[in-house]
Amino acid sequence: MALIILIAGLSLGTLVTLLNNSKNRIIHGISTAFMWYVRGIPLLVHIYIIYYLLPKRVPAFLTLIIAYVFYSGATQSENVRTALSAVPKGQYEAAYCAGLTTFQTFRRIVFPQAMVVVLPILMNVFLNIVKGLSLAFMIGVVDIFARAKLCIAENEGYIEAYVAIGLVYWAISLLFNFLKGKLERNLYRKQGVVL
Amino acid sequence: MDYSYFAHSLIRILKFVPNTLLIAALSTVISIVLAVPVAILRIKKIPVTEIILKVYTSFFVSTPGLVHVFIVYYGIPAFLKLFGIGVGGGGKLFYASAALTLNYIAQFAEVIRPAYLSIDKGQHEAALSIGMTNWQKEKRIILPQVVPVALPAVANGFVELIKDTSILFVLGIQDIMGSARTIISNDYGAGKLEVYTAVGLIYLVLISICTILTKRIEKMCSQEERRKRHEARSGRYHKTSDRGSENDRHGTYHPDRGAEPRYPGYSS
Repeated sequence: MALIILIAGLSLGTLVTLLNNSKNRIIHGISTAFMWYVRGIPLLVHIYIIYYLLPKRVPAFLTLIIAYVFYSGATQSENVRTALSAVPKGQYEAAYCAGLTTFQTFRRIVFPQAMVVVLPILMNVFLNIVKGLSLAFMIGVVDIFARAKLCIAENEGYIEAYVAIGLVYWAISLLFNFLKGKLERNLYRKQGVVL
Repeated sequence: MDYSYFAHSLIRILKFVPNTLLIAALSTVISIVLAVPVAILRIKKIPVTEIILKVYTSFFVSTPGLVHVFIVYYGIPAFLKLFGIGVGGGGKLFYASAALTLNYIAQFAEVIRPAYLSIDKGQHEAALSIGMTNWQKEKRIILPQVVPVALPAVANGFVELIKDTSILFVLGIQDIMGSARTIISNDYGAGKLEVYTAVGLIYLVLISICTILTKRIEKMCSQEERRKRHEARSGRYHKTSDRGSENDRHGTYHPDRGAEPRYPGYSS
């Protein structure tokens, strides 16, 4: 679930960045307003608003994904912008000079370089999404946190259950940090960047 | 959407905004105060505390806020019971701020530590070499440089903290979100969308104000601004440097003055 959100959010983030870079005042305004909205509202409130805004027939699971994709879209657009601006302008120009099309430039020149910058951030974003999903039980989606709540309802061990969830989240995060380190090193080696 | 109900609930919720701000301000102040020693201990790298604090930081950074709230709420009384201290009920406000504080000590310490370490080693050495004591060095040379680096991130942390207060209603605290829940249950769930939209609007306004303030702090702490103020204070440059942009800067230097001076905190 977190993965779906990550990828969809990234796409939306890219879109928002592109819109934000647009010269058209109205488009720029829309994307800015969108980012302002998302940055100014707690995730929980946002999920609730979307939940009650959508018709009742939409399952809670889908609501959550829609709400979260919106939310992470804005956050991610920031990352995308950082990544794209980390690629020097000369690279674009050189690529155009070499006769590459815009798409080719992006695919072969810009994307690999931006990836190196954005990958560590993406891992953090992913962890944040996993963390944020703990709010899901508020609208009745069963994830780790909701599972624990159910356990508590069955046999009253509050503190044990909550410590257990804490440990589960912690383990996930440590695992990801480990993977992140590996991936980063791998990527840097491939790119020939000396650490 | 029922606009009159929306307006009605907006006004009712507005009464509880001070509660949210109180919790946020209280937690921020306490966590900044406590984050400083944590950061110092981590900078000193004392073996035992280093491990403990690393575990502590990693735990609080990697688990969601809801988990902290519940662990603190159920955990602190249970923990105190081990030492024979009975906590009867206790204020929910206390547990709420404690959970936020524990979380944000970790976050702020992670801000302050890199800020401190970002100061050039030469600054330490220079301060010691002109005969300052350790305390004088920290107070006069290092801290004035650390604060501008750390302050914008801390201000951002405050904004995040306001957002995080929205989960505290699980303890039944009457802040913005909690009062919204109360209104909904009082009216038998009549206009959930209206109430939550009102909540969203209040948060938006609140956080926008804080963000503007944050931007101001950021600007105040930026190198460009500080250089300008530094120049204004020391009066070493021609008045024309008031134009101050990067482009015409070099034009205002006198060649006799040699290399560009280093400003406090302006390490490249």
